[in-house]
Amino acid sequence: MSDHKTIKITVLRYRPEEEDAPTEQTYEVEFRDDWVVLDALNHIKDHIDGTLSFRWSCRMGVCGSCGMMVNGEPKLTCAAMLRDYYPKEVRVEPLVNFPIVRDLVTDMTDFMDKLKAVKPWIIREEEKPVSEGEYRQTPDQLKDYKQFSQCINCMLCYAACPVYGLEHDFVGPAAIALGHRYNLDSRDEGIQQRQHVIASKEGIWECTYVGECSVVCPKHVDPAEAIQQTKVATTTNRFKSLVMPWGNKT
Amino acid sequence: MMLDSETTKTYTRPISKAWWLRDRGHFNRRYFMFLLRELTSVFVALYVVLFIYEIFLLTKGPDAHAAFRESLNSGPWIAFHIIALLFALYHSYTWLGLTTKMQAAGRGLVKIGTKTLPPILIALGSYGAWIVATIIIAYLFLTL
Amino acid sequence: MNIPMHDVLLVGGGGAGLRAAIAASETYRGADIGVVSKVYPMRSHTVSAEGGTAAVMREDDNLDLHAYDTIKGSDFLCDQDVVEAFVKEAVDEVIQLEHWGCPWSRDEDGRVSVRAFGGMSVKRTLYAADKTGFHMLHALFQTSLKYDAITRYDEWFVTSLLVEDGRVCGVTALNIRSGNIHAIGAKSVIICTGGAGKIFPFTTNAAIKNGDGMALAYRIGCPLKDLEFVQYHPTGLPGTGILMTEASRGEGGHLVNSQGERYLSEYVPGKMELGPRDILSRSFIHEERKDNVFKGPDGSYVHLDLRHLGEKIIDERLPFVRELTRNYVGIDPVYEPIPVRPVVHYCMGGVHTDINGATPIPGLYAAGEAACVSLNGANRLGSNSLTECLVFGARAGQVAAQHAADTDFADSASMARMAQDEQKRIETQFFGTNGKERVANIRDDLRKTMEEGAGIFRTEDALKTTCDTIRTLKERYKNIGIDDHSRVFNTDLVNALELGYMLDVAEGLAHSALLRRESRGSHARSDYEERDDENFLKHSLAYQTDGDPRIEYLPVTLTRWEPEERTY
Repeated sequence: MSDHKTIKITVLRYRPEEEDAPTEQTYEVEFRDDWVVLDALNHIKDHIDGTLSFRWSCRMGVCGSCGMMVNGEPKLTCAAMLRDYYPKEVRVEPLVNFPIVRDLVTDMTDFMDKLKAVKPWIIREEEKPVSEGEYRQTPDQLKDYKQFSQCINCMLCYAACPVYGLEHDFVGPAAIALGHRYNLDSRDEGIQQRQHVIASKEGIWECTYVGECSVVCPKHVDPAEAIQQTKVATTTNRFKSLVMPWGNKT
Repeated sequence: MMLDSETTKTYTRPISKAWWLRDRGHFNRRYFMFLLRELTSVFVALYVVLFIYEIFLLTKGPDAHAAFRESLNSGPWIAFHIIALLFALYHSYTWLGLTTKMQAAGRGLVKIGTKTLPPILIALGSYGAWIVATIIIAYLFLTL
Repeated sequence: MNIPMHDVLLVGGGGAGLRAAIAASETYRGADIGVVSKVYPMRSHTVSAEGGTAAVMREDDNLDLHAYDTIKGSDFLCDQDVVEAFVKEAVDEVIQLEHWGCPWSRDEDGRVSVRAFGGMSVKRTLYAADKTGFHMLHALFQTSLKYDAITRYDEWFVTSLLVEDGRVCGVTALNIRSGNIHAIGAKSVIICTGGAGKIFPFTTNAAIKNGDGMALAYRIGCPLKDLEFVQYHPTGLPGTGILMTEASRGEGGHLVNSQGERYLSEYVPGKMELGPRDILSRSFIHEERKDNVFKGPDGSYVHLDLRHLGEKIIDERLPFVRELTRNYVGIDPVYEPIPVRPVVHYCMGGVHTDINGATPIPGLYAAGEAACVSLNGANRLGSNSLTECLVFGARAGQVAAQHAADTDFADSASMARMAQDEQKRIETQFFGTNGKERVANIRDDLRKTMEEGAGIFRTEDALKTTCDTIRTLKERYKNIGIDDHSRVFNTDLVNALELGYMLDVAEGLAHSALLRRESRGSHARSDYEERDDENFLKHSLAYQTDGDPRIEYLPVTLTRWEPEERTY
């Protein structure tokens, strides 16, 4: 199939024990029509340079490990076909807006903290015992939140969001979308407990609607939409409670 | 609750001031269009200042106002008005386009019964209302 | 040195591990739970499961029927008391998961939907579209965040189990980020590290599934049970092993060989593409031997042809197939046939445990694919494995927590010493020498010999060769050299350690397969084609020794179902 076609892969390297700032390294690897960028990185690691570090696991776009910048765009490298770049060289960098730990590995502890802050679990005033069976939820009610439950935590949206890059307190697209997912779930009663994080200055109001998070999302979660919906709902509720302070708060 | 007593040295890449123009060697059209939208507010604000000044001149008598109107007939001012108009149109168009975002997830904020109104109807409704409002205002101005 | 101590410590943070962690913290209030995982828990391989989770939910179904299907599917090698407990507790477990927010697909009346699945006689498979494992894992992970008793060690890699006075008292783990080795003390340790599909060249399994936990237990004298049983899925993509769901054949896709023939007419004329997984996988090998297959850079393959279905049907009913092939290998099934071949999918065997997930070693437990509670016997039924993670994850968590409540911590000073020894061992083995052997080369050779000897068809001679090859590979492994001698996020080192685990599991697997001179379930011996209940209705137990593993046997527990011929 291949008559020794090759492709150049330039990778951002950062070895914290040896250097204070990242450098670049270019590898030339065999070009294969059915390879993705991740396959090329694995080929480098296995056969050319074992010191190159990156995260990966499922190679089918669902574990969320292998997000990197490919020619300046946040991508899952398992879904970035080499042939879409060939014969030009491919440039791979760690996801932007995150501190680099080593080579293509970034530090995502900030997201893990934010995820926990939005309380991404079902909150009930009273838990129903398991013996009483499942909560009933119609397909329409499922559809209400389904899209926002597809997030694989790959961090591409944070890399695409200039607001997060400039303002690290911003809760950010994925975490807000996941909080919103539970708010919309018919089984959940925890919206009030999440509001102080989601409907805060560091939450939805930090978002200036660049919309790039939704563009890069490999699972079509559309976090920008979650944020816009929450903005509208929060504003209407505030307005309602202003003109009808006696009314039910929802 | 990860035990992170062992954090290591990390490197944070600086963000260039011109990130919306050239992002790591690549032009990102959407970042640029976003910043353009942010920029529209400047022109809208300038226009409003001008407009308030014009109203203020009305209190100084018809001559002062007419002289001001006359001075606006110069090339630079006409250019300013055209640019401000384009920015205002761009701002309104994109802002109203966002209204669809309330709807797309299947869970819309605007529902009829249990059915979510399709996002395209929300957008068309918003644009329609915008055009109607513009026509009414234009009609009032032109016939007064 | 200050050593973190936990009442219960999970090794692995996938479906079984997180379920166990939650169960442990609910069983024993005030218990301190640790979860060590070499990847962030939501990256665990549970995430890739597509089909569903089996439990008896409807009026037309009953527990005995689910039990019988499972037992028959296992080719009568499961323990029937385990199956009976499993089908009973499965129901509460899937409801519990519903209460924790799992977005199960629903019927119009709001009840969770059920679908049909291979080997299940009625519809009893709950599903969340075609991403059941993904939704299950994220629901469990996000729910686990609310338990303050759970401390996570994300991206920590366990290098050994600590044993004192014959009981497990903790682990040593490499903090991948810092490169330091630490001891973590625990009264109970539960292994939930998943299977070992990556010891084979073609597998649906993720890169992280190298049998880590199985090898950890094996190395401290715990037996690995029924390792020879490895399930193949007939339609995976060559190279990547990405799974093409059974539905692609259910909807009318054809399997075609290089001669352009629908070759299954020769092997399963009655069922054609809808024949059972093992028979379809074996048919591929027959075609390969006849040279009727295509040759590619990732080995031979046949075609799964969907073109005659047309774009509309493919988009309506098989959207995920089209998404996967287009995005991950660049083939559009509307216009091109999909190259497929049988790929390793699941390990029925694993760490030997009793019905509660307890191993013979005090303080050590196991659950999920890493364990062998003997639910799956010689062949697992689709959609039982996610349920297994829940049921036996919960059981192991509860029992481990009870054990912890009655036990004291081991001496922390001696654990600190053991961690220092471990750090020294690793530094000497991987940094101290200038070994010439590359990780990737030994790994490739291992995978090759596993495919040749312990693949779909096995024979005495081929298995002996594989056993010998593994022995030489283990020798070569002693001379391993890694490129990366730095500490921070050294994945080269992690891969080298994983390779050590893979070699151990492969060794146990090949020797167990060599001695099972019969064909049962997924274990097909060309030289012993019949099932032999007289001699082999028993579990194999592989023990590590200084030389070849020692294989012992354990009777199968039968309660109400007598072995019969497995026909469909």
